Amino acid sequence: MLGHAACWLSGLLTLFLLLFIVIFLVLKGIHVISWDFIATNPKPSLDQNLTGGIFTPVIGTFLLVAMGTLFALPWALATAIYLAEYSEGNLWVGPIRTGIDILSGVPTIVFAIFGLAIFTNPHLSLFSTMVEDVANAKAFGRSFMVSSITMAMMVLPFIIKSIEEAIKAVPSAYREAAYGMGISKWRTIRKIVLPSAIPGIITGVVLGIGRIAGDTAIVWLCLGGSMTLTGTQPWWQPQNWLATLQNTGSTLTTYIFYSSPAGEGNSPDKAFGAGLILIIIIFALNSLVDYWGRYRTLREE
Amino acid sequence: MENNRCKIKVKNLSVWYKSFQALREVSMEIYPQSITGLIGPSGCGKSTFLRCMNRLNDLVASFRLEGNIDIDDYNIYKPETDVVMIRRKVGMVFQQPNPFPMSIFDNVAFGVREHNPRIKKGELEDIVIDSLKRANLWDEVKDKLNVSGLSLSGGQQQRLCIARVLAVSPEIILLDEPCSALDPVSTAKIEELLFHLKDSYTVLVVTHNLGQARRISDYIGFFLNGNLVEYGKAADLVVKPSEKSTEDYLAGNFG
Amino acid sequence: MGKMELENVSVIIPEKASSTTGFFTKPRKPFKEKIIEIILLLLTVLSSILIFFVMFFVISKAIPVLKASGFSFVFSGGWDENFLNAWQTSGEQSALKFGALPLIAGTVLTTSGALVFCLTFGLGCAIFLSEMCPAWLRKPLESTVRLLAAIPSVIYGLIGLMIVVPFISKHLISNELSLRMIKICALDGTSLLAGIIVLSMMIGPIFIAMASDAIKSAPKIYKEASLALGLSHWRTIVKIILPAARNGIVAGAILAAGRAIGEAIALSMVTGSVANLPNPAHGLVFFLEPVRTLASTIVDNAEGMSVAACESALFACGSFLLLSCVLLSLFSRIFSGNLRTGGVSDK
Repeated sequence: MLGHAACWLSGLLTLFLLLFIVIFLVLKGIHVISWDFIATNPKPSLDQNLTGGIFTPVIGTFLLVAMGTLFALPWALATAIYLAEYSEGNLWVGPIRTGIDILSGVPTIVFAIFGLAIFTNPHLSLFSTMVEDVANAKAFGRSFMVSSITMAMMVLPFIIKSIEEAIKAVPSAYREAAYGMGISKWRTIRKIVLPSAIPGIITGVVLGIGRIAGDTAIVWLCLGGSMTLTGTQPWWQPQNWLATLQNTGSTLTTYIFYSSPAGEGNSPDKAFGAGLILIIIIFALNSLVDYWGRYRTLREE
Repeated sequence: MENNRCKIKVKNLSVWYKSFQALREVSMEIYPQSITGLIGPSGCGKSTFLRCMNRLNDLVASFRLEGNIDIDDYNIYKPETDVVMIRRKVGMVFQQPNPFPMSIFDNVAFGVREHNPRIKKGELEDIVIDSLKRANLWDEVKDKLNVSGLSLSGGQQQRLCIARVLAVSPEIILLDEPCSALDPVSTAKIEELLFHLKDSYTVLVVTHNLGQARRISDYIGFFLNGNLVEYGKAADLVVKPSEKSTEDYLAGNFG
Repeated sequence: MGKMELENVSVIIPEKASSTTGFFTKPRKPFKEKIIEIILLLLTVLSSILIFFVMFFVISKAIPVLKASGFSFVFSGGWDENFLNAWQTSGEQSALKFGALPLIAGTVLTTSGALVFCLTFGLGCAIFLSEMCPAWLRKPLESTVRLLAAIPSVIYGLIGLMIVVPFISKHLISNELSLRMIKICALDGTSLLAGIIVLSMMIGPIFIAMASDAIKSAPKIYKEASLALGLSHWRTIVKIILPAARNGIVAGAILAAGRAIGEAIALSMVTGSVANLPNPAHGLVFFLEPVRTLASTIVDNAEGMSVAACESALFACGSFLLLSCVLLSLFSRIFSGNLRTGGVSDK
């Protein structure tokens, strides 16, 4: 009986934990959120009321999500297709899977320092900028490009896994029918297998997006600690886009870290506002995955 | 057996999956413009035999084959053969209707587009319409060509799969128990359809249904434990089988 | 439908081509398919050896410090002084000696503390979710677990910093206690305990999801047989279902431990950012002392990256993290492998 009670208690505790987090964020954050909060840049100030909004962090999150997905998706797709469709009979496929598996367990902070270690190499300075006035030449190693490539490596194993599952779930009858008609293997994959796997591929991408949008460690180390975009201004003009990508900025997560009492921004109320917006984005992405999953099972029935 | 030049010539065909021997030294000649029925209890190797004809067994990693299969005097297991080209000439219809998850039109057009990417729109439409007509499906679907193929009934789906095969103009059509998942009415429609098809194609049907084999086949081959026990004109084989096991099977003593 | 018409439309394969044996060997862009397969293989191999790149770069950058420090990297303390020293005397050989004992201890303590929470509350919740939960509550609870697992760590850090830390400093730390401890470390609520609580909230949902999956996939026949023998539901859970799900539960715990070891931001916010080695001799105050983990050290000391010695020291932390996570991944693979060959859910 005691065990029953303990299990009920733990279950309810879990429910209340989520309710508590959501209610707390809403209560603390809702009064900060306004159009001004979203549409103005963060400004350093000792007075919390003058610290501006989260415009550039929001831009940063979207930039990083878009570029990270752009790098990760083709790569993950190719790997997943190989593993699901071509790997039969390849003796190396066991070790290859193990490698990808281990990759998924690597902490993001390790990816972060790895990204820095690679991209501070002066030969790779086109991904960021050169550091001036240092005896031995070194690239700065922190930029949107560096962090989105690093993000791509971080989410790669997760996207591979969900795409591979989606491809394997495509009924083999489709493949047989296509092969039986004299369609080559690659054309069958292109025209029959991948279109049928699209919901699963989208699920994988959305999961990856959630991970990129929620990560702090890689952003903090590989994108730098500056809250605004540091490329040539104004950043929205096309001739400055490349410079923006080569320079630093922030995302919602680093904004929260920076604005909390643990950082130097000293505007905890705004951290809650940004936290509320971030969590809304993350929950929306999750419901999207849910919706796709349900849609798929409905269609299969 | 007949003056007609044979279309497929199988010689000493043996097949293994790992160490299990699925076919033992099967030799058989299959004639054009006819329906050849393959019968036998489940696990006797008739489906394996059928899947050797278009090399679909190549997909099974543990598959191994000895012997020859000549289609139009060409051994399709020669190493330099392009399997894709064989499958264009040898169409296949499966036990479970398996239309692609796309519209009825696209299901039929898919193979044509793949084989001939530069085909003109009008030409493609003609082929699709013609294939659907030949598969006796046109009247039922002509108003809903853009509807998903999965929305059709089982029998319609199976005829859609046949139309899909006809569209790529094969010369040989393999059917692997095409009616086993269908109701009697749909089965009758498909049998009627097969009867028409034999004028233009070489048709091989694996079937579990003896009555069906009797009704539609010109030739019947009886498989047991991987052996081709008996092969001959349908009328002869059914009336006076020369082997005891064939007789027992036809009498329903096992199945 | 006349025969003439049929021949007119069947234009794709000419009638005559069939009789020539060349039809079957006709070159049909033979290389394109092969090239695609090779490209796919190359990208696959690249995804797989990425882990070796990561290990190579991280460890090679860590070697100067690991070489100079030797075993004292693991067995001695003084990280903060070492770091300041290296920062001020940039580049000198003597500055390459670091002692990371407090960091390693901080990592082990926070992770194992969080695992204790996981294996009690988390396992309870997993059992509740898969065996006791009323039907109407199941969906909401499953979604809850998934959403909790999706909440970014920085938000857990923020909540820990704004709720857990003030609570600890207000209710658990008295003025005289902090005065008594002032010589050793500042007690302001940022502490080992706060770290454990925040970490449990973070890794709990991951563990619950995996453990409840494992419990659900335990064969139903065992459960039915046990109930039919007259065992109570609870005895059946303890004696039959949990042992059958053991491998999955262990794999979940290992996965959760991996996440806990690598968590940087949230812990850097709530554990005090001091490379302090908590002293068990202080009794329960032990849990109220600040600590710092290997991962959060990298975040806290990130500005040091511009000095070679400091950079190498941070990479040394990184390589310890990396190696432990690799080992944990391999371990959990063994357990989930057993799960699969044990024939629990799929054939």
